[in-house]
Amino acid sequence: MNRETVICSMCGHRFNADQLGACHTCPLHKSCNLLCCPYCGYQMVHVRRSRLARLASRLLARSPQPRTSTSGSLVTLPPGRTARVVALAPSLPPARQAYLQACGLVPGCQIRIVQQSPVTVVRFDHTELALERELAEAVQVESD
Amino acid sequence: MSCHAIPAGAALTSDGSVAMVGQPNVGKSALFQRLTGQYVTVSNYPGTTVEIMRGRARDLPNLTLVDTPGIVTFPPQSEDEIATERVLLDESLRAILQVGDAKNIRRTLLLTVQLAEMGLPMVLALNMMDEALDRGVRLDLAGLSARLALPVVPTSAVRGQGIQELTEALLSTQPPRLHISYHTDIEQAVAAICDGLSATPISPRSLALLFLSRDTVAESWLHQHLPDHTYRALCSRRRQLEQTLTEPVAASIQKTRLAFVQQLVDNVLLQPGTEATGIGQRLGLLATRPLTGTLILLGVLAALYWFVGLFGAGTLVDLLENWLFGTIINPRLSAWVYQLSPFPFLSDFLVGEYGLWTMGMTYALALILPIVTTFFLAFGIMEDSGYLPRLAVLSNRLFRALGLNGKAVLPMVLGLGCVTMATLTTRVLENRRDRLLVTLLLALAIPCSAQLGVVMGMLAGISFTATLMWAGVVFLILLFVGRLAARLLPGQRTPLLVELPPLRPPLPGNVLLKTLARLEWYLKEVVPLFLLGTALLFILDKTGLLQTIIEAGRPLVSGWLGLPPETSAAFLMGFLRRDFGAAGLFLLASQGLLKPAQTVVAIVTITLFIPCIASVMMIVKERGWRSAAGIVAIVFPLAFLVGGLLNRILLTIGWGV
Ligand SMILES: Nc1nc2c(ncn2[C@@H]2O[C@H](COP(=O)(O)OP(=O)(O)OP(=O)(O)O)[C@@H](O)[C@H]2O)c(=O)[nH]1
Ligand SMILES: [Mg+2]
Repeated sequence: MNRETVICSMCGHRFNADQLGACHTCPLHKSCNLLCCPYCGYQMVHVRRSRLARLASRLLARSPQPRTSTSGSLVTLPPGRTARVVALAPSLPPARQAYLQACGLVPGCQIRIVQQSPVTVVRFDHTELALERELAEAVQVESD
Repeated sequence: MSCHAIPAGAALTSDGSVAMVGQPNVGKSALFQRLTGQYVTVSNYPGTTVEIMRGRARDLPNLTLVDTPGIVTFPPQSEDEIATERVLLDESLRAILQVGDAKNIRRTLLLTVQLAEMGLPMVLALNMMDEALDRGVRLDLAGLSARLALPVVPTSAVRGQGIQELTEALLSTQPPRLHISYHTDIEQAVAAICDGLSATPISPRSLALLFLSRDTVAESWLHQHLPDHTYRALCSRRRQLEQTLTEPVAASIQKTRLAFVQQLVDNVLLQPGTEATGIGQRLGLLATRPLTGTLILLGVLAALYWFVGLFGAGTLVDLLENWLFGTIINPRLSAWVYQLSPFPFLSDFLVGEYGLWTMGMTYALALILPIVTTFFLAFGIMEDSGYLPRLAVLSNRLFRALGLNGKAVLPMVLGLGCVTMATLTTRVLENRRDRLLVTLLLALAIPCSAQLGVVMGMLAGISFTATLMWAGVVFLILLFVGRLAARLLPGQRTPLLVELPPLRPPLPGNVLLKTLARLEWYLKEVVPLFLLGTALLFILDKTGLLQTIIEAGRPLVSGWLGLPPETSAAFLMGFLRRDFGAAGLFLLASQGLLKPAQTVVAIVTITLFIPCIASVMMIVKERGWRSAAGIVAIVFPLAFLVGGLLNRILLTIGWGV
């Protein structure tokens, strides 16, 4: 998830935040939270560097970093991401598995993460489902 | 008897019933209303209907329609789902009317194949067609109907579309002929089981499949209808199958069905449609996030407080009680009765201190009716919006501390309307332990609308601190008892898994209808009890027994709770219905007989009482008399214990004395 590509909020230009030539020579570079678009020169806050902005954006958008990385499970994906269900882990009690499948959460199903906290919420087909972490961990997915 | 023998039944001309079966929240009850013209509750959350409802279909002579709780898939996983399967097995149905959500075709069809296998004449109503079309879902209905060999009718229950077509389809329906082949080992077991079955309510094949999936309802049906040795033979056949198969039988069966449904979906779903993008969608998203969700919740609570607490319990009660009843009706009526009636005893009975009209009816109509009316209105709007299931997400952490999951919020919130009904709704919870815990908490710490209104009215008269104190104490007790009970009760906590329906604008007609239905229920249930309670008090008063009881209660009420002895009468009324008791306290407080500290102690105590006689009967019915006795035995002593302790604390810190 090391996506350092930034989209300029003024002109929409996509650029890589780590490769801004001028910044590396600047003495204030280390502590600087600002970014300039190399195309139009518009200055914006670099959300990943500013602690305050990070806090604010987390509070507003609730896009916390995944807490532990259970590779391939539903809980590892940030809100907004789409993915495809690969399997339901056998650790899931059979009754829960039957319920999830009957709701349409079957292998091959395209899902979208709505939120991860306080519980995981996903959307698929025209269904919205809330599942607690230990259930969400049992849903194995492949991120798009 | 072969596995494909099907109960005879061509056109539905003779008497019988038709079960309406479908997944939760797809509009079964809304459709039932359309077909029967009879009122049943329709709300925007899964688990509205928890009991079987029956009604005569208007355009289907001789047929009784049966509205059932939603079922996600067989085998059933909660008590309300079990009730649905019981209808299928015990009712000797003439037909099944499956109601499905047109936009969620995959889910609908998974249930369709399970119902079609039962071999009863069947019709599939694809409801919510309006929403499906709005979202651009396109289906090949003719193709679907042909592939399943059963009539498929698009409907929209809220707009009344497709009702006529549905009726016609029901009149001429035939048993579907759907055959899915399962794993060979399963097929062999099914064949072996079918051999011994005859005169089954659903096709022997589907009964065998349910039995092999360890479906408890099918098990108990077979156990009852087969000789013991035959039933044991079935069980050992099942064990044999379970040992040969590498996965659970139910899982294997479902896998085959899912593959079949996938193929159907590929063929009939022409356009999957797009996600709805409206203001409702966006609000729905915000309502489940921690920060925005909490803000929205606070907003909802504030609105509720304003509408019910200030407008209902304040303005309206003032208008009715002080003005209409206090200065117009009651004085005139009293004067008139005293003038006309030759017996002072009768006059007292009607319009005296404990008079049927001046106490019973005045409490019911002037004090509580305006409060419950505003509450039911506000509540109906919330129920129809689809907000309640979102509270389950928001409150999951809290309920986790009580050894429950957020799903428990539904009966708890419904308990604010009526604890008796909410006790019934605990059926939607997954296991016995959760149901018992929630029942206990409902009986102990959730005030119902009638009581809530009275309490709010009293507290508003003191100060906001008093309100906080009352709410805080009750909430702490809820947490404390909940935690303790969760520790003591054996069993595991179940993690949260709920569906969030789309937020929909509440339909004014439905909200109004629902409010009226609930008010009718209120008047029917509460008024007689209030009158009975008043009559009882009147008799106790006239015979002098009331004074004896007040004296007997003095050590408890005055000594321990620190209240004036007259409150004994209110507590006595509280045993009947706690809002009746609260109304008694309200009167004492408005006569200036209670100091602020005493008011808080008194209403905390009465809030922790058992809600009412009806709720005790409901607990007996749902949880058995043992649990009911246990709950009663815990609640009353605890109520007085907490009240007394609070009295000591308030005395010590010197608040409101
Ligand atoms: N747009 C739309 N909404 C519908 C339709 N039918 C029902 N609804 C809404 O869907 C919600 C659920 O309806 P109910 O009739 O309570 O559903 P149910 O299947 O009885 O639900 P449970 O009893 O919980 O299983 C309500 O808010 C209805 O107003 C329909 O055809 N179109
Ligand atoms: Mg219903």
